[in-house]
Amino acid sequence: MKNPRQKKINNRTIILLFFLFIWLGVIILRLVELQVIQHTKFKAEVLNQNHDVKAIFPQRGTIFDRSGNIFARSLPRPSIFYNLPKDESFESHREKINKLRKMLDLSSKNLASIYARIKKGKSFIWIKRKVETEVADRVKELNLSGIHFDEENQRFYPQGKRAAQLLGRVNIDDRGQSGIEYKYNTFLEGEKGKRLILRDAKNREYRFEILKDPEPGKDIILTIDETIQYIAEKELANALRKTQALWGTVIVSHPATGEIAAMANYPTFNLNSPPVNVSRVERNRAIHHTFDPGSTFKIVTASAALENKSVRMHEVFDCTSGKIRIPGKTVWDHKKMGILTFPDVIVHSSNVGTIQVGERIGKKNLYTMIKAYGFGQKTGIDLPAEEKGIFRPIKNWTDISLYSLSIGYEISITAIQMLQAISTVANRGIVTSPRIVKKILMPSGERQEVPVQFRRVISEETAQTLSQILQNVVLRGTGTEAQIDGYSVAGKTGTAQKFDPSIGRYSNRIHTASFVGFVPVENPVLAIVVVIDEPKGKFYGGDVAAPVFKEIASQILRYLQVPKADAFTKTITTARVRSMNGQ
Amino acid sequence: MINQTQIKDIDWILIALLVVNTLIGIAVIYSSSHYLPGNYYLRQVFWTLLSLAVLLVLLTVDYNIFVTYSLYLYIACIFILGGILIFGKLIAGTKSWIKLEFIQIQPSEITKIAIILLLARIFSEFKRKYLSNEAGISSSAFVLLAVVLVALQPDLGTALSYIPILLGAFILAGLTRKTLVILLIFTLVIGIVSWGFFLKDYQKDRITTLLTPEKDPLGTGYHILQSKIAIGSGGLFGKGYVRGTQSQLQFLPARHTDFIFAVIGEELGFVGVVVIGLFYFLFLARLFWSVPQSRDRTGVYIIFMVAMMITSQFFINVFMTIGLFPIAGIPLPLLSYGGSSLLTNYIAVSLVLNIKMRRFVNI
Repeated sequence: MKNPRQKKINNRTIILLFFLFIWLGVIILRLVELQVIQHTKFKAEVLNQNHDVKAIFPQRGTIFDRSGNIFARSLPRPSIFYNLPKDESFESHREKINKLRKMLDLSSKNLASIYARIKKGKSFIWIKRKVETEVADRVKELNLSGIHFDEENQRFYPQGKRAAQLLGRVNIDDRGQSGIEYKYNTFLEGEKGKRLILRDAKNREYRFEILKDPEPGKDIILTIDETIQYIAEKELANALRKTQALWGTVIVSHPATGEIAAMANYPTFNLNSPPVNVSRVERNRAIHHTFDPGSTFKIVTASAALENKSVRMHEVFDCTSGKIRIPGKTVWDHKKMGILTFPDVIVHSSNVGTIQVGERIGKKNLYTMIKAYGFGQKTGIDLPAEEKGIFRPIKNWTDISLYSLSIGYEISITAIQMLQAISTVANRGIVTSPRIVKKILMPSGERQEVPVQFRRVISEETAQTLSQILQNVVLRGTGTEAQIDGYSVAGKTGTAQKFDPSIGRYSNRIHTASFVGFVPVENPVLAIVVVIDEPKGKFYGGDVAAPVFKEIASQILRYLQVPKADAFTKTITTARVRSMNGQ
Repeated sequence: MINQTQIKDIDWILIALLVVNTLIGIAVIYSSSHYLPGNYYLRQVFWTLLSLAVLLVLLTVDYNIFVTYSLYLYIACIFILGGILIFGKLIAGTKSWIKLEFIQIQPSEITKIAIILLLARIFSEFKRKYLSNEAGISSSAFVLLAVVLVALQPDLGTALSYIPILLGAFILAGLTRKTLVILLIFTLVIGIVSWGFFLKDYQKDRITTLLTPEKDPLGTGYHILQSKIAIGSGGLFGKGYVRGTQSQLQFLPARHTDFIFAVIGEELGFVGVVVIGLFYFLFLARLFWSVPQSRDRTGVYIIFMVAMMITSQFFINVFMTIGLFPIAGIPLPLLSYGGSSLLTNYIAVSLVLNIKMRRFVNI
């Protein structure tokens, strides 16, 4: 059978088989490479493909006012995202997005960024976050491949504009950007949970496991009273409309505890729909803006004079000329006032008189008193971006610094610092650190935030005397517009010339008008500061700011049912006053 | 037509190896498609029974009769291939299918049989030491016509799988150095011209991504990458039958068809692949071992071409699955799901058995 032909065929078959063996060898080597050498790498690749650890967003804590009204809360809202299905053309992506376009009201800018991400081949693309549940339901009905939903939380501010700068905003990721939302973000945001999702190749989840439950954010109770806040904002807005001023701010506090009951700013905005240029209106000027106080600062000068006994109570000062020369310039009174006793210098807010008083106090004593009141330092209120103002150390003072400071120039302060000063007087010489957060509700129970700190600034006697002087300011001095029928009011007006950078000196055209005061004098329930910047027309603090104080204070007194001062009822007053501590 | 001695001379071992490999295929098809609607493994069982029946029935007819009528069979195939190009409907992106009442048939598969028989006829009449020009050119022309028709469907993979059959015939006929050089140049020219003019972008991508599949992991590199991940993550012992994540979670494309080898690699691991590969190797070796066992040259050619056809498909498919060859869309013979392919391979093996059982018959 074995002819040469057959042999040849055998040979060729054998050669061919030889090649086949080589190829088999190649296959085996390759399998060893893939399955043995690179096994770990491919195993990791498998996990990478179908394991997904995602965050579970915790519900952000609620912010309440002192009596339980909701200022800010988070509600679950679906967010829509697109997980690019494999092997689909750009056209088919576009078709789907187009279907959603109207339904979700996507802007052309949104669309452009979505398409850009599709082109980049991103596998995860937000289509729209935090949409209404009904809208999400309609999208679900379309049943588009790759369109998925995730539950997030949307921040709502039921009061809208109320306390906007104070509460602050959160960004799309629910992180606080300003105000309380920022300052207390770590408490409010809670802790994210973790979930493990296993997916198949079509991105369908086939297993779901919660690795860690989210921890909801803590609730915060503010010292703010919604009604008081409302009153302050309403009256401030009225005043600003009337005076055509640039802006204004009002702070209302309870002097004994330092609790802030209202902090209003104008202009303002709605937290639920912040304007595009929100940065212009979201500054909390009450703690952020610094200004030359002018005459309100005479409270500090008077404190120094009384505390150091630099002047006697009935000592008189000559203010007849209505002007006084200090090195380099002349300081004027708003009118000629004749010979004034020390209290009347303050009552009528005479610059001429106060400068003479300042001269008697001396640099060191005045410096010490300003420092003791806490000017040039933050009050430590639990809000972000508090300014400390500018108060130069004594070694940097010039020849005229003593005079300037006596009447409230060469220093810049915040409204909250001024409120702090008047509260000290109201509180018989003791200062209490201002507070805006009353409680943080921990899962383990309540926790008081920021322990209250007390510090004596001036003696009780000085405070008492000063109260009387300030009461006279309202009774018969510059602050008569702040009188409230049936209540004793103490306060001080301020009309500061603003430094005009364009002319390089203080201007006599633009002013900051202010009033700071407390009521009732005998047992102060309220301390209020009103600052109105660049009022048009009337510009005296007594004309512009004092009436605002009056409106706000009288309404709050009525709301708190503080009885009108009667010699009789004085003793029961304390018991009947509806306490601001929340009861 | 058939007598007792011939039945005694049937190569039962070859039939056993054929069936064992088919059963392994069915088991893996079950694993890779049991969660899909369509009961693919049951269909494959049906096709196996049908193919086995066809295999046995064809044994009753002397293979030389098939060879005699091979030209008509070839012409019929060409007409069908041309017909479906004109009248066919696109199924899965190609016009490869004829849809009957409840089954689909892929004529391009059956055409392989026609080509084998036709080439056997051409070459058996040829008795010189080396391949003659007439035989070389005519056989090439017949095969190329079929290649072009199938490539137009477009099903480049199946079209290219005809070439090894022709190559087998050439090898057997004997090639001079000159012919070898001409063939090489011809292949190169065809390659370059196709790249420039005929290959579609996705086909070019398949070739370029072979080198860098990571570059576009979700696009053209997806198949290769997923296949490598599946095999690689299987490791030494695999993840267990019906427990391969990549296959069960459908990351792996064409699991029960072209990429069935990756399913074996993932679920049964290196050890499983070697064991299954051993059975497959025995089957292929048995085919090559049968080559000389024929009473005439026609038989030698047929067996050799059948062995070449199945072996080349096996290598191309496996090389593609392990990322060493461009994605060609060729099934793994006997193991991949697919009735037409299975039937064709059974008919081819039937021819081998037919030749072997009649090796002692006198003409």
